[in-house]
Amino acid sequence: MMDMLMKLLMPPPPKFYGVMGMFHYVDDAADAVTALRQAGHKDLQVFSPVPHHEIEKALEQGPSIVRWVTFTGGLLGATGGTALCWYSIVSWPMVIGGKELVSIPPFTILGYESMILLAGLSNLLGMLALARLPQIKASAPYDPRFQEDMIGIWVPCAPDMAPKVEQMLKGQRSLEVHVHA
Amino acid sequence: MSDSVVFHRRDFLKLVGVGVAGTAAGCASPPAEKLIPYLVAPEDLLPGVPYFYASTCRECPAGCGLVVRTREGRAIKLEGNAKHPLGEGGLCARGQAGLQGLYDPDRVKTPLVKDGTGWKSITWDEAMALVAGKLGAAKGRTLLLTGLETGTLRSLAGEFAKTSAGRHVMWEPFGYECVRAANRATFGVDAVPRYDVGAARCVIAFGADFLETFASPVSQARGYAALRAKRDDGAGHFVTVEPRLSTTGANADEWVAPRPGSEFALALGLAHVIANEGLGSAAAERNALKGSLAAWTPEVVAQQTEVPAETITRLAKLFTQHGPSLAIAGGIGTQGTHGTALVAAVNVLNHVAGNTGRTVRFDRALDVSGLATFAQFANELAGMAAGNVDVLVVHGANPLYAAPAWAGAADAFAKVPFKVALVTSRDETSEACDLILPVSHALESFGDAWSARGVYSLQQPAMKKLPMFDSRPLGDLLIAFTKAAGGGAALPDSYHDLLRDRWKAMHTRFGKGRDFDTFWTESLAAGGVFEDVSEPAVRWGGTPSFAASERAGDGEFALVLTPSSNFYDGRGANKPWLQELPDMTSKTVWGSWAEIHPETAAKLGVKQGEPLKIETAAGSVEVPAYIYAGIRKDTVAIALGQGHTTFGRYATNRGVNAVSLLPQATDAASGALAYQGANAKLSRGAKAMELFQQQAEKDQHGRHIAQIVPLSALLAGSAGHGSEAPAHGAEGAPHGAAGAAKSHAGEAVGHYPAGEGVHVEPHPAMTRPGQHTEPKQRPEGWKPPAHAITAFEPEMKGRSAKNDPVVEGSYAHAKHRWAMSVDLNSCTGCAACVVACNAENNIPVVGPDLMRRGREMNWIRIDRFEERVAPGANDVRFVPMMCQHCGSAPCEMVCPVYATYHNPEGLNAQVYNRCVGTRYCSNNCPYKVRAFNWFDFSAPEKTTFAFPEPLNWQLNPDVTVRSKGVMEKCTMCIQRILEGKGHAKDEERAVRDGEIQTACAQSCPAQAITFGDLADPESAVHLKSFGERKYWVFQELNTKPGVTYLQKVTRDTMSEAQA
Amino acid sequence: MSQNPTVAAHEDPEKRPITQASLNDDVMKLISLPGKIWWAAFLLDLLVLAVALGAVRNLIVHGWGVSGFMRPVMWAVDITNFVFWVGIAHCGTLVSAVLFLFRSHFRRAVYRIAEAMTVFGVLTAAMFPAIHTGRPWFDYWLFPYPNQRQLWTNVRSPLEWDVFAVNTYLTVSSIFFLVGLIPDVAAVRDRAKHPLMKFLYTLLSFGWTGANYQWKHFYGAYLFFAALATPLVFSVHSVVSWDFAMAQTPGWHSTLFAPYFVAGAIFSGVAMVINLLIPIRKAFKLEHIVTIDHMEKLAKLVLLTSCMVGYSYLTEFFMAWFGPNAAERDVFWFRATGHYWWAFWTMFSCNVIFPLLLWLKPFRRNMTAMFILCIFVNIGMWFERFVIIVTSLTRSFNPANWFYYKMSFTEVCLIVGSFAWFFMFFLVFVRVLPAFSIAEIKETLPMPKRKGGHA
Repeated sequence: MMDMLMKLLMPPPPKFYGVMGMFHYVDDAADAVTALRQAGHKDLQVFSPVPHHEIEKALEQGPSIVRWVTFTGGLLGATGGTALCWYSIVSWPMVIGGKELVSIPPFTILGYESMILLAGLSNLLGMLALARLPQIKASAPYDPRFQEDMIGIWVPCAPDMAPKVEQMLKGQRSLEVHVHA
Repeated sequence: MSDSVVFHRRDFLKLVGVGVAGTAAGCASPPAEKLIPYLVAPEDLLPGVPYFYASTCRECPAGCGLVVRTREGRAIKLEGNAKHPLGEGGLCARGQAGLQGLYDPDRVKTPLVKDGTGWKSITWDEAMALVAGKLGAAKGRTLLLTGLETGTLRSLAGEFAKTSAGRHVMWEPFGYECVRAANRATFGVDAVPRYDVGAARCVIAFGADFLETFASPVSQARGYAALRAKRDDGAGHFVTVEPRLSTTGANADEWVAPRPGSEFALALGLAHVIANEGLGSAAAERNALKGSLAAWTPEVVAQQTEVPAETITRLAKLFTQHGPSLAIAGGIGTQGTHGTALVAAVNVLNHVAGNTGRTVRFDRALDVSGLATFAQFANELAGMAAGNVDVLVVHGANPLYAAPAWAGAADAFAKVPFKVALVTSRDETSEACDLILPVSHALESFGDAWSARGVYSLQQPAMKKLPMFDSRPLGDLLIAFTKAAGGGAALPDSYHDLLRDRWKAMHTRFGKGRDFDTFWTESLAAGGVFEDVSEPAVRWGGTPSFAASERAGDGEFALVLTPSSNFYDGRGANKPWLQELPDMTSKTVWGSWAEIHPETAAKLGVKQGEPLKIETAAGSVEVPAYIYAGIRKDTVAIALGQGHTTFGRYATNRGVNAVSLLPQATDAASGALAYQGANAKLSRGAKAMELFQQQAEKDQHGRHIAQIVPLSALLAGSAGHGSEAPAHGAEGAPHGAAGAAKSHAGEAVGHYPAGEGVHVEPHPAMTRPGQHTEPKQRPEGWKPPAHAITAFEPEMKGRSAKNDPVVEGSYAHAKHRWAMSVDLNSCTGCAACVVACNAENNIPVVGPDLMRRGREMNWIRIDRFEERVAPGANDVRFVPMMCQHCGSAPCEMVCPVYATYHNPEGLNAQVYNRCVGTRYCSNNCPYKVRAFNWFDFSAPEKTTFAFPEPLNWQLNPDVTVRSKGVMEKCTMCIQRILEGKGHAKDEERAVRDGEIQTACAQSCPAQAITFGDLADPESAVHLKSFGERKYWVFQELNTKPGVTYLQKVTRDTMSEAQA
Repeated sequence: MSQNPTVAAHEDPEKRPITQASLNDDVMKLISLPGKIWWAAFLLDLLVLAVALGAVRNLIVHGWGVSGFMRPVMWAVDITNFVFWVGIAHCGTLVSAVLFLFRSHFRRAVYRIAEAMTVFGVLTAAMFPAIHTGRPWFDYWLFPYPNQRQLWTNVRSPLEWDVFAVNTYLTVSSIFFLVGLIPDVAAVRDRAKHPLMKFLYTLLSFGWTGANYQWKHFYGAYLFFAALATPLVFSVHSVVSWDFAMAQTPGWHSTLFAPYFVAGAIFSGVAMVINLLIPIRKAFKLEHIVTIDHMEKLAKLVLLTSCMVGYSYLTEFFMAWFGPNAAERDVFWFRATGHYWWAFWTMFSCNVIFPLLLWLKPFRRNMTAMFILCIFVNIGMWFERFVIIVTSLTRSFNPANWFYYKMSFTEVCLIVGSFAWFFMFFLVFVRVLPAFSIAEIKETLPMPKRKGGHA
């Protein structure tokens, strides 16, 4: 019963081709990454419970571009919010408290709040899109210990290359190496 | 869900049906074509168009002229009849509330016969048969007891009495016995004179509440306004002499508080000084009088009255300083064991000062002749107790409530075998009767009232009899009774025909060259026939002798019973409007209270609202104490009119009946019941009770809400410059807009109205230039932006096509700027406007419980501010406070849904449908004039329903009945504005100034409120709003109100008299 | 990383070093089937909530007349509660966003609780503007939605600003909360036994794996959430304060209000965090994760804001005395000495006098004392709003309309009910979601390294 439910809810991951090396020590992992990349393995995936600067350095990641999405959203929000105020007033002009129809101070407040709202939303969407979340089907074999204290380096490669990569990882003092071929 | 209305569609259609039938098929017995609309031709009835019927007010003996406004055949509002000599268009709160007597949900539905302890409803035939039998049997032993009746009904009553060989007794609790007796003694006239307050240049009221219940309050209020408008040479003083400062007295410049019961001595003292020093214009008999006044030197009087001698001489000077003056005495406030003495003394005073015939006039003397004095009435009761009466017919008199127990009304009634009560609503007296016959309300029946000399008022039904009450006109019943008693062969069956017959005589007198029907029609339309009467020759009948006063009973406090300006003698107590209308002295609603002086309270250890026990020889009551500086330390005052045991749901068991405190005492000279002169013991009460106050704080904390200007300053000020706007320009007070210094009033767009130039209590905004309590200084040549619609930025300036930001709002084409001005100098705090507003705008009455919880719904209220309340100079200010329709309204800015906004004609509009009920607008309103619907007052299924059938018949179809959860407020009677504009449009002309009147402005007896179009430079409201004395409440907030107040003019009685 | 100052802080009394794995154990202790005490608390909470909802039902069916409100006091407990709970909420964002920007590491241990408090606080607060209207079924009119009659909302009304501000705040803070949860929920997911739970946690974790590109964008975005939430938290409470400051009612009409309210919000919020943390860390033996130093830092925050609030009180009185506005002067005199003096002095002593104890270090480190003090602070802060609203309205411009407001049972229900409502969410939260940020605390741990790292 449980297993059925499990099968139903958690479909088994697809078949992967490549080698997964497990590390405990951050510096080992970082060295491994460097070595692998020198060996010409480009599309590595590193899994870790927390981000590590060493590994990021080794992977030579640039900064995230999510900020630009956020910025656009903010811009939209600010203009949109102010435009709404302006339109809502001139579309049915009624004198209120003897104030100018287009009264800037309240507009800025609503514009400001709308800016933050849309910036926040676009920030979320941008992040999800870029981080490929929600992730329906795994991009690599997964190990729960990645959320505990293990770092995994996934080297996708053709089955014939697998032994070579395995040797390389062992050479980098990987604690475990799993070959998917 | 949102807007539950009182009428379901079907009911409404039914009502319209009834109404149309009503006016088409006529009112009561008479057929339709006899109904004479006041303004509109009677041919056709248009639903939605109001019809007006002239009639006569029967709420008190004054008998002012009425106009009944009807819609779809339902009377929805009572207003004064401008063509009527009594009232001249004004109508007091009591008069307007008469409508709720018509629509009283507790009215008797069918004839009722006593059945053991309870009542059994029977048919009219059974009832009439019963009466006929009894009357036939009781030959010569019948008594008809009524209130004051005049004209045809009185003669009919006489006829009934004659045929049944019985008697007709008319008794009024407020029966003017003293006035009549005194006038008999001094002038040989048995009448209540017309006090021409307006003609007087100085008025001293000796306890006469002439603005509340005494004589003809409405006309006198109008006169009061005229008196206070006098200014040229510093005239128009008003001094009140009474132990307890009444609402009338609150308007006075000076309060003299003599020892209760000794007022007459003071009057004589004044007369003495005048006679001896030859002040004022001499009267013929002055020398004769001088002799009889010799004893009353100021010193003697001072010793009797506890009023210093110099005050007496000063008042004498003041009284005679400015030509015709007027001293008024009478009314319940002074009707004590020395009531007659007082009125006589005041007559002497008036006569010495040469006022008789000038301000004390007998031309339109109130006709109260034929009224039984209390003594006579007591004899009648004794007769009844002795078993001399077999059949008693009562109408319009409530002795079991209004007469003290020792008068023996109860056992007198018990002794009479058969008693018939002809009433609209059951009261204490009808409960003691054997048969109750429902009579039609005055507004449902024909009649006439000859309430004053030369005033022959007619009373016509304004609507069909209410279907739910199977009533018959009083006249018809009396005719039937007469016939039953075996007489009245000559009488027609219907009182209406009788009336027409009797008026044939009128026709011969006044109907020159018109046939009777025309005459009749015109008389009905005009509300009666009014002949000009000349002043009859009144000769001085000699001075009665006066004895020094002494008080009866033990107890160190003098008991003062005050007439209730809301309930009169108590007959108004079953009207919710009046119950919820605050007493203008204590601001108390829905109950009784007793007024004591702060020091007295401290001595007794009684705090505001705590129970106070009042004991006299006759009995004791416990009421909440109201601590009031306007009363002598040795005096306790309690108002009449409450404490009914049976008088409908609104009056029953509310407060106490003060009459029960009266010990057995009458005024020997007149046979009047001595309401005053008893002594009382005070102690702290035991019962926990509550004082329902509509306004607790009476000090305005220097907020400049009610402003005054001394006459002297006004004279000086207006001497300096024209009474034009720039007055304050010289003061360097800031101007809102450029050009305030220009002379044209329309240009005087200052955010301060002028008048501060003569402002004695300078406003912070004036005295501290540059402080941020005032609107910022505008640069020269600054033009108010087009959107800033304010009362003081007239159309042409405020709006021009090019600087109008409103592209579609049609503000650009606004023709009017509705505004209002309130003259605090005329306002007497009579609160007629409040009731008028309630009636016009369907304002729910919330009841005592919710009033206590601050759930008042009134749109207009009278704020009472006491600056100085103590013997000597007096400064109490009444401010009618309603929505100010601000140009830059704080309420509008904060409403998130535009439920309140500024309309093109300057009104601050409230859109009920759009209101969500955040209540923010009320929080931000400095005037706190917005009312929130805390409950569903308009949902019949809810316990909070405010208009139980048939009160809902009174609702004005032009005004929405608001639902739960919405905010509401004064609309400046926008429905009336639209109506007026509609008329103008139909007649293709511009709206005339004064054509449109708000309910409050229309009803105001003193004409203190002016409504009109500010954009019209000729309009009255414009002239007032830009004239002198004008100011805005909280003008430092720069709300730019559309309501302008005119400062109250105070007069210094202390020093001016010395000059 | 190994030089991180907070390492020491993360060692519990028994000197048991926290490893990455043990941290997971510790935090996930909370996520287990609750025991009797929890159920008792939860049911009691629901009971109270039911009573309160009954009162709310009366409000809606019969109208606000059932409350003690009256002219001139048209607002009282309703808006008091609103401002109080928004204030509570603000501290959460402050701890999680502002301190994140300032890189103050002690936040990592406490920010999850604080953020949860924010979300639930706003959920509580948002109810009051909704039910306090006379016709709540028309509340949607306050939203600018297109309609054929072009009936828009009045953007000049501070209440309209509230609509925008509070909704923005609710949205952003919820997103912030949920996003921050992603990696931790992934960890919970991997430990979940029951397939259903596993599935649900999987959904909530968006299928997070901890791959390098995920971390990269996660932190990229997280920084911006913080950067957005920081100005938001200040703007929102400023807007809330303008509900009063924009009105001209004496006692409300003051430029001081925005900073004054923000300080007050943080003040009450931090106190609330402490009140929540102390029992939790004790009950689940997490003293080694949320250490005494962390608590002391929070205490210092309380002290700081208490001083700011006290300063604002004094400024208000000074300005009332110094300024020319007689009505203003009158209101403040009335506050301190008038009919509601007790409310004022409760507020003043709870917010200004008692917190002076925080100058003493031993007091700051005594959890029992702190717990009691923080309860007083929250009482004081509730009364601050009550005093501002009620005393000002009672004593506005026209003396003829001075009446005293008396609280009715309905309002009591509203107050108690709001707490029940809040704790309903919170009790569930601590049991199903990681109440402490595993990922962020992990970052503060010494990373295992072969070269000179911990073995």
